[in-house]
Amino acid sequence: MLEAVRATDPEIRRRALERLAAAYWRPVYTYLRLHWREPEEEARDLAQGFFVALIERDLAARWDPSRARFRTWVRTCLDSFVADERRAAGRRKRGGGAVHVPLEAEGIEDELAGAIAPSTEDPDTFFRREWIRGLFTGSVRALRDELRAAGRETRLRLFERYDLADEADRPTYARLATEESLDIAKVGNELYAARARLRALVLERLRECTSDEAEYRAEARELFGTDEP
Amino acid sequence: MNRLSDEALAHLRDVTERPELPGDRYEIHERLGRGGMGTVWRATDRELARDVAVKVMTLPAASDRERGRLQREAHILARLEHPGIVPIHDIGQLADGRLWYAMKLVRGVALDRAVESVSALPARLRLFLRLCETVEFAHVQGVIHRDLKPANVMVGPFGEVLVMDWGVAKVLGEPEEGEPAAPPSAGAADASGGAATDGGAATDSTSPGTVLGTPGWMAPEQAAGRAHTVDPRADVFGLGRILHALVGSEPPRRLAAIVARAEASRPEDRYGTASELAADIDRFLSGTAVSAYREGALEKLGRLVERHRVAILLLLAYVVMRSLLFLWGDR
Ligand SMILES: Nc1ncnc2c1ncn2[C@@H]1O[C@H](COP(=O)(O)OP(=O)(O)OP(=O)(O)O)[C@@H](O)[C@H]1O
Repeated sequence: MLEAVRATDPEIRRRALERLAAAYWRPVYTYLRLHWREPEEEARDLAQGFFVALIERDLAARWDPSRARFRTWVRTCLDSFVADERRAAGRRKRGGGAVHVPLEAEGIEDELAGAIAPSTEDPDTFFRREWIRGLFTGSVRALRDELRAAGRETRLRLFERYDLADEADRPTYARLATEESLDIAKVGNELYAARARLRALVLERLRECTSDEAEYRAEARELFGTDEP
Repeated sequence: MNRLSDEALAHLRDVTERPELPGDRYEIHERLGRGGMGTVWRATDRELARDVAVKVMTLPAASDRERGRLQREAHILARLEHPGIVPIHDIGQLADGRLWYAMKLVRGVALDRAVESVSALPARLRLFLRLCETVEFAHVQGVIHRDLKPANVMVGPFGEVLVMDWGVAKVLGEPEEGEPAAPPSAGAADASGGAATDGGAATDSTSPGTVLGTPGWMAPEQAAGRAHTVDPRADVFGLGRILHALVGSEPPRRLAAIVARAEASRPEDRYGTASELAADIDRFLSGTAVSAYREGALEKLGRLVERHRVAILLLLAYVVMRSLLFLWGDR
């Protein structure tokens, strides 16, 4: 994907930029809102400007894969971008060039309501968690759309009731089986099918926002499981 | 949609990794650990009603080469039937393409933790001897481990010693990924002692993937990127490092000499095989002269006195008794 970001053809570059923004806008926006404590409007503006700058200032070309993961590098760039912008007197009108990044920030404010950035956490851990949250949020959405389109309402309900619930509200398989008039094994199978598809969707997204096979695999190793932050 | 809470996110990260093995045979429980290739889970084998460990790759293999790594490890385990090596029971592929294999569940702790409760030197050395036996067995079967370190050795509740993690092992006579396909050229390879390496001209290739093993534990020749051409003495080095860690900071001189020979930087200065190393440890334990150490006359006397202490005491007692009897009888 990064190859395309560096392409000379503006059309290819624009499309690459859109993909980059699609993969990263959620963690970038959340980071701007919670870590930098930018108000809604400014955060949106900054996010937009950031993705444009990535291309126009040729920032992507300066990334050195041997020194940092792409994710970490994006976060570092974002930090200096915000610092620069804050220093600049007033905010210039951004995004005025050939590139416009569609940020589907729709609904994200509702998601963020009540969320606070833990002040003790180091920025990279915070950004990383938001990035993972972004991968899963987008994938859960896609899964939901898919299941609805395929008419698999039961599978979707089971998934939402069980896998999206917090520990305390999570029903037992037996309870779900009674509620849905299914046998327990079937509940297990439905859940497993939903998770398997979710996993595939997460991995598709991961591929979009990593630079190469090696980084993709390294990130995947740390994505699943609960051992670390 | 609400923001995924930290808790829900953690749950999703967990359930999307949890494998579902085909059929009803295995029930997956908790994670036992993670490694470079994948995650190891505790599972119940319902057919045989026993617990096993199941290793599952993180992702489907991207290439035949990657597929090869886990399969190779499985094949090595299958080939090395020995009480010091976990037996493998089953191998397969998940619906999404991830490879897995089931092996004996080891209920033990890594060597470094295990020896915390074993302070006596002879007891530690006896554990080490068992480790040497297993490594020697593998060598005789033509397999070099290449990643020996305390974390890869498990000690079970009955003192059984298991050598784990054969993922980067070398099978002598089998070509490896990235290995220069040069024909064997006489004299090019380091041919002194040990088993023959698989021919090859020793290139100093340091292309990525060539350096396998763990820094601090692997032999210098392996760290230098010549992993393809290493011979059993690379494992002797690993054993030497482990021994070093086991004997503490001030081992007896003869033992220190054994350590030094085992972990010598040049392969030709080391013991040629794990069993030669074990033999010296054995000699040390029984108080006979070790091959790694040339002792002075006084030291030799000291060692002999130490070794034959009981006999010498008996002899002395005898002499004293005789003298007393003699004196008495004289009166
Ligand atoms: N047969 C087993 N029984 C019990 N626990 C095991 C077994 N095999 C592995 N483990 C646990 O799982 C962990 C991961 O093992 P694994 O072999 O995947 O990785 P590793 O030893 O860290 O090596 P590497 O990263 O080089 O592949 C180990 O540290 C160990 O705690």
